[in-house]
Amino acid sequence: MSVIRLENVSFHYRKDEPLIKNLSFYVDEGELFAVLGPNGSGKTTLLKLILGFLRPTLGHIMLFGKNLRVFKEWDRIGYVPQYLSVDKFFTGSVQEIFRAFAKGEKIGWAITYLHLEGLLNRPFIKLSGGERQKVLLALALSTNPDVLILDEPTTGLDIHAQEHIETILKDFKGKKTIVIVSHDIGFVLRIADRVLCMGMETCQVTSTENFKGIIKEIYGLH
Amino acid sequence: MGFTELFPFMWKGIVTAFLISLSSSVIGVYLLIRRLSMLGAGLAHAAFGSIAISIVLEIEPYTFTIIYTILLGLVIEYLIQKKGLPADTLIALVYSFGVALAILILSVWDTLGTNIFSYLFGSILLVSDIEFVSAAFVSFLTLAFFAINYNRVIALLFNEEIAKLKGISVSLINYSLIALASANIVLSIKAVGLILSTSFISIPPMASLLVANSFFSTILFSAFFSFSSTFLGVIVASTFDIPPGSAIVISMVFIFLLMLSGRFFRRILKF
Repeated sequence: MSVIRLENVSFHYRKDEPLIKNLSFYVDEGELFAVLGPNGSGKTTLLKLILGFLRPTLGHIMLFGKNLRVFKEWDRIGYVPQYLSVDKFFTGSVQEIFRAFAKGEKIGWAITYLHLEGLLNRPFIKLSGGERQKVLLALALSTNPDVLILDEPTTGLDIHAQEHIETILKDFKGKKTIVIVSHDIGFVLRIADRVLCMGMETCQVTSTENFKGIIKEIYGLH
Repeated sequence: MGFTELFPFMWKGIVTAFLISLSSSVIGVYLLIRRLSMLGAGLAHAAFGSIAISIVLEIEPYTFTIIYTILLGLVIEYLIQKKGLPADTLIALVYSFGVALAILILSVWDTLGTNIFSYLFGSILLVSDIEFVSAAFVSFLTLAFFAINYNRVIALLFNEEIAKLKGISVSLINYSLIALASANIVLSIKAVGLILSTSFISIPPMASLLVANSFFSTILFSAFFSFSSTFLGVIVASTFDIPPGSAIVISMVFIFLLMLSGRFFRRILKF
């Protein structure tokens, strides 16, 4: 069953300058689906369309078989934004953030699973990149969602933190539907089942194996 | 005359200053994290134009200016959120327009001088009943709204997109807080004058950032610093017979510098 389905979706911020043009694809249940592409190719815009923050100019988006316009079961979607999106003047502690978004009993298992117990009293902005990413992941997991959507989960992280996030996502692979927006090709190749390439003429949706074969052509590498 | 002798004559002004110092410092934390602290300066100067209009039209300046400034604050928020216009430039626009409007009106109606000066530099002694009741109402409303929506405010300041997905009415809370902030800014004009009115919403929250390690402690420190500097300012002003507005703002800056040095020495001594 398709958990996410886009049918002929187009979107433009300015008239006559479509950022996304006639895009169709689906994401199956339990699949790990990656969206790749250079800066400005519309990756984040696509993510905002799927999450309902933006409305497509043309076409339809379906979540769990329901049109996005009438979809209400947002508890089934867990969203992990980029950790850099939090303002440096935000003084809230990890505990306060968890209290603000989710009741203790719901998020307790995610705190234990991600080993966040020792970070609860620390201000979010004083955590390392990897720790922040895990806090955001715990927030997304608090409702035990069927779908996880992650925006650039490894950007700006050191190699150990990247490996840790990768291990966590591999652990969820097959159990949850995961959509990752990234420009880290190596990370995507190691983890994804299928890849959507954006901002390129030659590639739309392909399996990771096929993507390995055409990667040089797409990126003009020798 | 000392503080105790002056209190019976200016108690309404002093209580107004304390109430507004408290609510402005709390809402100031929200504005600071959203990088909108200069909204205070922009709206206070926009209020200058509004006060000039109301005096010329012979309508009650306080009520008119509160409504005018709240509407302007909401328009600014709309343009930032929906049209993606830069906040600092919009604030500069309303700032300049307010002053330009007031200067234009003052140049045509040259009899407004004494009225306008009490708004420019503040006048705790001349707080009217309506100003006192408005300050008490707005201060209570601000603190109550903040307390009721405390977790929602943390959520939207942390990340608006996650907050929206969790079903929080991000726009409604943002617009409400901007409206309350606008009202607080107008009400602080009487205590410290419009030139200094942005101090209540910017200096105590900034000082609190230097010592707080959670959102709750940021709010508490901000309120404490604001309250203490108002108290210190009023005492110093009545003892040395200097303008209370200036004394309050200088006390705020003094507390800020104290916190800054504390942080500096803590780092050097590593404790």
